Amino acid sequence: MPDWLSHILIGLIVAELLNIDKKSLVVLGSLLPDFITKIYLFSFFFPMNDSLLFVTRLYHTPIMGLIIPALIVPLFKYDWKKTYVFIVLGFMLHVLADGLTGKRDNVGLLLYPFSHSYFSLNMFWSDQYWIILISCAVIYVSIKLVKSRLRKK
Amino acid sequence: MNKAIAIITYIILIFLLVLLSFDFYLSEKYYTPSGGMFMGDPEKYADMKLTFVGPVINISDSSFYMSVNHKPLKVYYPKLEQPKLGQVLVVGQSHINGTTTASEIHYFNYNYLKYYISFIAIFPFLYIFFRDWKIKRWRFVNA
Repeated sequence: MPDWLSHILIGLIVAELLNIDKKSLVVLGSLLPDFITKIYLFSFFFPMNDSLLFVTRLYHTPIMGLIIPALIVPLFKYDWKKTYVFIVLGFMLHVLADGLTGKRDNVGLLLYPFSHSYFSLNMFWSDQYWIILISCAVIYVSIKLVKSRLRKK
Repeated sequence: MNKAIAIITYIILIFLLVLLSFDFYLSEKYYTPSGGMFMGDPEKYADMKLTFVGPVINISDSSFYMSVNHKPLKVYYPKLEQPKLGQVLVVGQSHINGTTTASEIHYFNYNYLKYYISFIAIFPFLYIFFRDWKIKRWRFVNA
């Protein structure tokens, strides 16, 4: 699965392409699934309950991408519909980026609770995050350059 | 939106979140057991194709030890190389004595750098976020 910088860039790329004014909401959504899931990083330092680690996979599913953003919408004093849609967009981008790229990462539960199957394009190993990072950086810089040239014209 | 409807919707969503969490927890049997589950009860999960991820502890000619959730796991696999700044992924056949025979190995070389990059990414995230928002009482308002 990609690193956080890649997730931020993926969110920014889509926000730029769709001309979203509050890009920060898409970026927030694109990191939101990991705020809970990264609990597994504690297992680097001390033993963790396996069932707890297992349940964190749930927070990388599209169904949670519809529920969790709705729970944080009241934190923003802004058009609630836009806030919800932008955060959901970022969340779904994260779930898709993880699920479609990860090899043996236990992500890609795209149809839960209707199916317990994982769906992944199996494109990259976890240690090939740099390919996604560089690709995203190149795409983002290209979009910014094209946009600034179009503005000058 | 009417405040009462908003509050009821919020409570329903929290209930849904808790309900799905319990449902997912109880659906553990539909998924491949984790390395930690096997090591906790090797008899129950013997003769299965399982995946383990963790750092390598030590290597001998015919096997090596890796740490899975801070417990040592003996893996039969000849001539493993120490992964560089990362972990190793093992797909293997589990045995009743709590060991495994690897059929596939993948080196996550330099994988730890990913976590450093992710940590550094917190700063651009905070910059992007607080460029748009400022905190007023308990809510984020336009900056």
